Amino acid sequence: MAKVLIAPLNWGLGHATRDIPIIRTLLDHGHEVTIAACGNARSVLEQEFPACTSRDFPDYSVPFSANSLFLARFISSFPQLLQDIARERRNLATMLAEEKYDLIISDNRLGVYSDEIPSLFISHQLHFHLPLAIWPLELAGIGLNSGLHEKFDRVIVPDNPPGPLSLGGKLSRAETDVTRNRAYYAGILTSTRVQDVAQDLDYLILISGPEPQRTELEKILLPQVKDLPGTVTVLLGSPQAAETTRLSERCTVLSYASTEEKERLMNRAKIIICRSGYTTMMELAELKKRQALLIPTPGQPEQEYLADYYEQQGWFPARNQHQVELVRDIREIARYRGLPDVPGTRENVRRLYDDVLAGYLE
Amino acid sequence: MDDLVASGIAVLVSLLLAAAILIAGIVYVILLELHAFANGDYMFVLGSMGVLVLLCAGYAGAGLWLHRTGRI
Repeated sequence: MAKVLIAPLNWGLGHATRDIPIIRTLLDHGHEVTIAACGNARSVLEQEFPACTSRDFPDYSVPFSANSLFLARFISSFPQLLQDIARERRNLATMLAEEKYDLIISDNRLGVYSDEIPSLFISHQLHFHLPLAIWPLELAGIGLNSGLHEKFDRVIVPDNPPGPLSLGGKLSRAETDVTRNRAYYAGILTSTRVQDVAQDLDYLILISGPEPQRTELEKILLPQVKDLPGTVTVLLGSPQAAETTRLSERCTVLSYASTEEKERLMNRAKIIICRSGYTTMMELAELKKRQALLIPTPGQPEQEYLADYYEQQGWFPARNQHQVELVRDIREIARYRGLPDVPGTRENVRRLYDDVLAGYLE
Repeated sequence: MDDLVASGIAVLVSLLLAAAILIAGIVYVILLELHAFANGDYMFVLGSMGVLVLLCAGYAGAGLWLHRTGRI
């Protein structure tokens, strides 16, 4: 039995939730897992794996912007990020001095690696997308990423290899030999599972993501919801107020739903209207959803790229949140063919264990 | 100091240095243009404007080429 330290980033729940199948597989193989995380990411994993040891492990503040100035905000927060990484390195050193681990798995936590212990890095972004006007920075980002990947033994990419089944497009493309030699394309990894339920919900609208853009989208979409033909559930992703409002016979607004409730709603939905975050895209792929409308969070280059990429691939239509007109835009959905069939999480995580993890643990 | 943090600081300093050089360059060119304009040296103004347009076009062209060829 080996001991594994797993540390997901707490920027949204996407990192923690995609680690759930990996942790489950490690436990199934009899290994001991210690969760090192903070905030909601830690809570979710503690709830899912109460028997695992969990340690508070602060990460970095989120440089999400109130407007479209993500990059400016990101660059201005760089000194703080460096301080946070220095603290993360010190905390990790303390943790490793207190307890012996056989493997470290970092989900997008830049400073969670060791020279003595095999360290794996999970990331779907091997290549950062930036606006075309600042293309030299995008090229510089490739070099920076490569320098970071050099610190790790392997880079686990939760996507299919570059090609027609790649859900990340250029984001998950290894551009340098350093990254290429370390990259392992695991395929999608998500905690969301297919359920045997009737698809009796015509539309599920997921209004999620960082504030204030989440509230902005709520203000844009809610007045339009009543015009949609069929049954509609809107999930506001606003845990502060756990209430349910019925806008009409056909339309329900939930301010918050648990992970299980959300999974059930996604399974029941025929059409999903959502942000184009990569975690959500993996969920759509896992559930084999063919119909969706994507609304990227303004100022988040990754979501803007993915929305654009999916539209170009003919998978899902995408709309800028300030131009969305639900009744008109849902008619567009039928012209798109949905995501291609890709291997599911169960198969992927089994392969990941056999191909990579077992080599370090058995 | 941890080498990851040291590399990060080097990146930050390079970024700030590049931004400073760029801004200084822009200010210098504007001052040159204003000076030439004030002295009635319109050939210099036109010539340097042409060079600037070419540089901008080269920058935009390189970006578009990288984008079209799928490199970025």
